[in-house]
Amino acid sequence: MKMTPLLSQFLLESRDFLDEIGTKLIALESEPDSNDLMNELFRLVHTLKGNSGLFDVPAMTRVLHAGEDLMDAVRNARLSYSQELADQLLATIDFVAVLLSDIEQTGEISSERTEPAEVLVRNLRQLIPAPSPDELDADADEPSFDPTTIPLPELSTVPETARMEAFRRSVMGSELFLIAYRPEAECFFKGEDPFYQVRQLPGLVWGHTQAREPWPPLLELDCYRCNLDFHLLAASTRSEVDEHFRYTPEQAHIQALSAFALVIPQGQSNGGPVYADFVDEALKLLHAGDVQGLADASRVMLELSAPGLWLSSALRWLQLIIEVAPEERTLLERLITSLTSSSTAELTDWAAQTHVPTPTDTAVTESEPATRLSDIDQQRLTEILAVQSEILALSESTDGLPGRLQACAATIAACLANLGEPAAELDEALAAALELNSAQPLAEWLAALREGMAPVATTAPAPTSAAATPPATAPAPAFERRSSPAMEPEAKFGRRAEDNVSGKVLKVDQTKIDRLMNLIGEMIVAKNALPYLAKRAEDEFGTRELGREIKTQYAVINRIAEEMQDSIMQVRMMPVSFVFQRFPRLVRDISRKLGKQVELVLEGEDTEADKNVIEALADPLIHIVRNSLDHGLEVPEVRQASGKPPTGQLRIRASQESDRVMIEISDDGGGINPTIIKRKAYEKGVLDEAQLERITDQEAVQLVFAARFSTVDEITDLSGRGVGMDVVRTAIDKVGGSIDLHSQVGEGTTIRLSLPLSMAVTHVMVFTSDGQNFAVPMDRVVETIRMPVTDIRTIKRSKTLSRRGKIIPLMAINELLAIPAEPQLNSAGEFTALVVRIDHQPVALMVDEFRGVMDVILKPLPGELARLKCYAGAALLGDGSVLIVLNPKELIEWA
Amino acid sequence: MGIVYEDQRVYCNDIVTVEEAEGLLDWLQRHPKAEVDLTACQHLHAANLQVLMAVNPAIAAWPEDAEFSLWLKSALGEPAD
Repeated sequence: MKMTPLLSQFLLESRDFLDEIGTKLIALESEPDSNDLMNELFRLVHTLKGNSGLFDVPAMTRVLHAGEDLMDAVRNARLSYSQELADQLLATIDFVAVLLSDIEQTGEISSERTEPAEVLVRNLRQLIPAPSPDELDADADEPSFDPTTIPLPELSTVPETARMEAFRRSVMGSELFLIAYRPEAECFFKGEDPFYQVRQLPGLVWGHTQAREPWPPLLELDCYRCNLDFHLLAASTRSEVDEHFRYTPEQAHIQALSAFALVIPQGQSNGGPVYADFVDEALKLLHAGDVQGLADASRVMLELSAPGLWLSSALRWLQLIIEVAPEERTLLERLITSLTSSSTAELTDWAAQTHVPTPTDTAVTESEPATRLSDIDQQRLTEILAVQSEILALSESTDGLPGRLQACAATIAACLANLGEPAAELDEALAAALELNSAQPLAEWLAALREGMAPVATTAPAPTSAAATPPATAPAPAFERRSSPAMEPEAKFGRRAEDNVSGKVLKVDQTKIDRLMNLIGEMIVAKNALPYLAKRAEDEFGTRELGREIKTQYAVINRIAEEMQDSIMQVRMMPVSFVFQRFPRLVRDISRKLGKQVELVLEGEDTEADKNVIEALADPLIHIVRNSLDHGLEVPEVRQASGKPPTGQLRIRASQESDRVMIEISDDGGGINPTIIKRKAYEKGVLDEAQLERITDQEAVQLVFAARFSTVDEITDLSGRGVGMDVVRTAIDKVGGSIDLHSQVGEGTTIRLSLPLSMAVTHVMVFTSDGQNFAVPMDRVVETIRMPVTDIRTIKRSKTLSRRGKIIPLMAINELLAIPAEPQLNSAGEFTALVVRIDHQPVALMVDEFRGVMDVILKPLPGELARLKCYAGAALLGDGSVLIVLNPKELIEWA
Repeated sequence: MGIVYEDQRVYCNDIVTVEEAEGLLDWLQRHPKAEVDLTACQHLHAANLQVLMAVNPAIAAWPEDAEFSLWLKSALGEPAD
């Protein structure tokens, strides 16, 4: 498949659908009785399946179809929602996700997927219960299911000319079919035109259409609900007719016809004795074999009779038969004899017994059944009977037993009629069953019947194998077909609703937004040049007036630019629910795997942050949640032993605090034991003995963030690979966030993440050193201080400061950046220092002078420079100069 | 071409598609005395057919296409010729 815009749209939408389906499935776990959820879910799967049908992805469509059927069963309360069912459905959406990535990567679904798809379909189908006989019964009225229930027109309603034409064609070798076609009411929505369909029927001799139900008052008429029945007479072949109705076989009752059945003279029956002579004469001619004489005589007779008379009609038939089938002596004789009574009685009797005079000899009328059943029909009958046995074997607890019994009996009776067997015994069995209110008598009788049939059947292997294999699967396809008309209207409403939405929501490629973001960034920089210009106008050119005007203009542009920036930021904002929505599934799966009971509580899902921040949050959060589930929360027995409720609670809460997003993940599990952490840290060489003595419990707990630190010895597939929390910290650091962990043994652990709302604008503290401007991100800054040089203490050749009873290391920024200059002191002999926090430890940096706080658009350094971790990036200032923003953490660790 | 509405007459031409059905029903309801001219009509979508059957308007002219004409006459209750 080529990647067309349509296909990429499909992929995009399908992923959204899958996400939503997943969410709904999880939501259903907590309220399995919610019809709204189930309907919504069904609609989603149905739409997704429908969409997949547009592309050549049969595996996906099949799997989704099975899923849809399963949900339909739940929706119609034939099946209740269960964990097992949820597992299968979740597996289905996972599988579809795999298929989607296949398409995305290679443009098609790899052939290896066919086998798993089939397995999945089978698993899904297995969960669908066979439709109960109640439903079978209820649906028996539905014409779309069993076409033979569609009433056929009376042959006498077919005009004589049409019947004659059909008769002619029959003699020429065509088979005749009387067809009642009842298109389903929704067929127009499927792009069908039943009228065109019937007009195209091969060998159509006659057709008529009529209203199925009486027409409602015009105001209530829905012209897009098909209310037409078509009655057709065709001279064709079975295969052609079947082929013509191949898409809607359940809507067409097709019956083969004997040509003689067409011979129905019609008209006013006021015949008189005047014809008796003719009859005698005609019979004589016939017996003498004088066909020509008979033809002449009847023509004369016909000319003398009024055309509307029954007799005229009979004579016309006589002529026709003489013309096209003179060898049919018996028919001619009957027809002539019937003239005396002006009645068709003898004719029809006779037609019923006679064989169809077609050369192919395959047409079958209902009145001459048993021996004429084709092998395929025989097999089908056997299957039907097998299904009836299945149904009778179902549990008898349901209320609808009598209905079920009667439905089965009716079906069996219809089969018997086709087999030409008497149904008396069946009635007895049914009566017995109804009396006992048990399926037993009927089931036994049916078993005996089926036993008796098997050897009788001419095709020995077919019936037995058919009876043996399909029971489990046979009801499913039937159910599938019947359910489809019912679900159609729903799907249409769904589609319409979406059409409306598409007008309001715009899907935009992220790069376009990013470009806007960059442009507004440049705009802000350009705007910031205006105050410099105003200053120059005043200072250099001495025109205060102009300077003031520039400032006024600046104020206007500034306001607009800020609003623009704000709106663009809003566009990039996403709710944290984007990340949170995967947790219900994750928590469910992991806790089930670990045998733990966990209740997940999500709060503040609508808290918003920049898309990049939200996306950067996803992986760290998953790590943290896994850790909590794996190491934090205990199994129910342990929890109960320590007096806690067996179900643990995992709470994820998002909130906004000024310009930062706070995310708190807390569990009420076992907490982190500092003693174990200390021992492990010592064993792994993270701590030396002296540190081991000194470290407080809270500090020890922070050690889980140290690289390659894992407290669990065996590696599980969940967490504990030793790449846990340090990765989390790095990822959070990268987006300018911080992480804080608090744990109490036996009570649980709380991890708090603090992230910037947006990464587009960075708050920085600007300072100078050796005449150059530098900046550090504000979220690192603890305080700015000015202290006399004499306060510097040197410990082991490292400079330190004593601040509020704590020793802080002191470093000169010039030294760190290898600038060959001493830090400048002010006139009072004091130095200036910026205290920053690095991993919860304050560090003082000696600088020359502070320039204040500024919002800048931070850009990563280009090319190779980007690999220098000690720079967070660079920003352009309003006067055109470049501001280097430092990353103090890397700078100090690097030094 | 499809449908052309005139003062008190509607012309069904060529092939009348499914989309026309709603409009036809509406128009015929608002013009109860209108006549339908089917002379140039080759096919009506079944939805239009059932509109004509339900409304049962006066037919000014039957289709030129004989086979099609038979269909409509039988459906619209006109005796076959």
